[in-house]
Amino acid sequence: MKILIVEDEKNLLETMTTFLQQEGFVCEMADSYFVAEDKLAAFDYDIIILDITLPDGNGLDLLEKIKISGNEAGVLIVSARNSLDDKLKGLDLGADDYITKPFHLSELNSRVRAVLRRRKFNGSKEITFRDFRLLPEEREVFVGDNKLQLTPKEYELLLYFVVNKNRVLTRQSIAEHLWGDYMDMADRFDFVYTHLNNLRKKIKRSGGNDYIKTVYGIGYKMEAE
Amino acid sequence: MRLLKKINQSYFISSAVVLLIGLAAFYFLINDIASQEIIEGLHASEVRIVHELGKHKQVSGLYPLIEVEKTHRKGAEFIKDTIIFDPIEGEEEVFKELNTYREVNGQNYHITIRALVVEKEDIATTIFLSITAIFLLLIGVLYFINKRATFTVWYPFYQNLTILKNFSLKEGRGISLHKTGITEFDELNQVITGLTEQVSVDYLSLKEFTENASHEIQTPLAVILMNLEEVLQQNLPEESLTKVYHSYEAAKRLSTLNQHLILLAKIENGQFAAGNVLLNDVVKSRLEVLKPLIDGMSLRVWVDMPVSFSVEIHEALAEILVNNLLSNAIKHNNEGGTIRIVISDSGFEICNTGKENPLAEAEIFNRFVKKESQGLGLGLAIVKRICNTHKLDISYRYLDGMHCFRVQNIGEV
Repeated sequence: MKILIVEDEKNLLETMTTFLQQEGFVCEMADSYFVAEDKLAAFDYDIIILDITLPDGNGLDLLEKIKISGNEAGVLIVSARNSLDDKLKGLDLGADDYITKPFHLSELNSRVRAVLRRRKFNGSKEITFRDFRLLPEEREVFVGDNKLQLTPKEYELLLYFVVNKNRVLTRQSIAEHLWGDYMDMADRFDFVYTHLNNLRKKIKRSGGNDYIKTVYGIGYKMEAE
Repeated sequence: MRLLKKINQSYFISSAVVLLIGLAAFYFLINDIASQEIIEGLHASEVRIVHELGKHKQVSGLYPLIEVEKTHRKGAEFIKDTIIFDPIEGEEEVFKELNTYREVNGQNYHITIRALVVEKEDIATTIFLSITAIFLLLIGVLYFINKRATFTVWYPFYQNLTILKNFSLKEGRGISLHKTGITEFDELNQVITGLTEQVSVDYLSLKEFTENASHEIQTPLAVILMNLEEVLQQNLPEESLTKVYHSYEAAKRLSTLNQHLILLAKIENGQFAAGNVLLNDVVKSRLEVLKPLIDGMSLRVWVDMPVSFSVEIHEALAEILVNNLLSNAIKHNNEGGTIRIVISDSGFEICNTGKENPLAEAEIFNRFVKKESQGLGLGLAIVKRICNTHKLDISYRYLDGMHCFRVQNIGEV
């Protein structure tokens, strides 16, 4: 899988690149509109992570060009302005998803993979993780042959863990993934804990193993082995 | 005190002072004139009597007004006041008395002429009464003139005052006031118009600056958060991890705070397009989302929605509105407590059990007001802002041990 990351903030560009490389992607960096346009003309990518505000141009214009040229790549827009206008315009222009700075890398990972699933495999391919089998289209999970009866949030939580296996997921990152930025819940962490506990119980009841390890005081981690 | 009342009061006081001085002056003046007139009259009578005597006529007295007696004594004339019992009036009266000695046709006469003096008390009373009457009349007339002036002269002033009262910085422009046709007011209006325009411009540029700053902060925060998150993935000693996590937590908090402030600004700027949203559905879906928390605290939830309540609002804002109120009702509740939600056709109310003291209504909707919670203190401020920008009114009351937040259409309180 090849990803082009278009981002003018060098520090951010490098962090994102390193992270996605660790996740097994081949990444190319572009720190300006000009460089991005150049690379897009020369190579094919599966995913383009596109910052809207570039010093020498607007990411949305680039998106329009990409779509007009018939490029099949999935586009994930990144913006510092959490503006609905930008979001709608971006999605109208054919972007697959939209993420607002600052975001968690695990969130980026989960969005990139969701775009990939929707694009390449029409969302039907199952994800397997140890003894779990996740069917993203049906939003179903099986442990062996047993189907887990999960609430939508529990499903999302499990998927988030599976996609970001072997990563410490902070409680903040989980809460934000599940409920978005604005929901005012002082007890979000209790909330995360409650959901996680329910999920663990359900997994155990179906005879599965609980691979989610608590990282004390910080968050949780799904262990791959 | 109203200006009119103030002016009337000063009119009243100054006229009272002037009239009191006038009263004293009148009294002495009238007294003086009256006594001079009387003396003149006495002299005139004397001349007439002497004239009569000169014609050898017998002038008999007319007690107590005229007494003529033959005498050998001579002396200078003198005037004095005397009190004589007047049998006609049946009381003692004050008379002015002219005593004069005259020689007519070789005969010496002592002529005494008296005239009734108007009593000083009577003068005083009369002056006092008439001046008081004038005074009251004056005040009455002034009052009515001022009252009329209020409608004519002050009308544009009050009109402009209403415009000023409705002035809001958020509208982003100055105000234009009506011409009053009165120099002082027009001058004041000019100054106010200039001032509000300047303030609006300043406010706008400040707002723009704050918004830009908030947005610009996001990118460096993203760098910080991402890098810290990556450090957290490493196998570091627990002590270091804790330190990194604390930094991460603080940066995260800063970022959330910033996002909430941006949200507040966006609501204020009306950047959310409104659609018709049925609050009943929003309440139901939010309850569903928050169910694990509600169950976690063993709360009982009573929902009473016999009718539907809909608002012209962006769906995301409706969710935030209901969510923030509901999560407050959960957060500040007691273990095993109650939440009651009532929807009417003009609003909805969310009540919860909790601490037994009512909250200070004036404070709770302000930014950064928080009580024993780890929140940012922006939840209710956001609720309030959403209400303000969507023709909704939010109020708080403490009733039967429950904290109630009521949202309703403005004008249907």
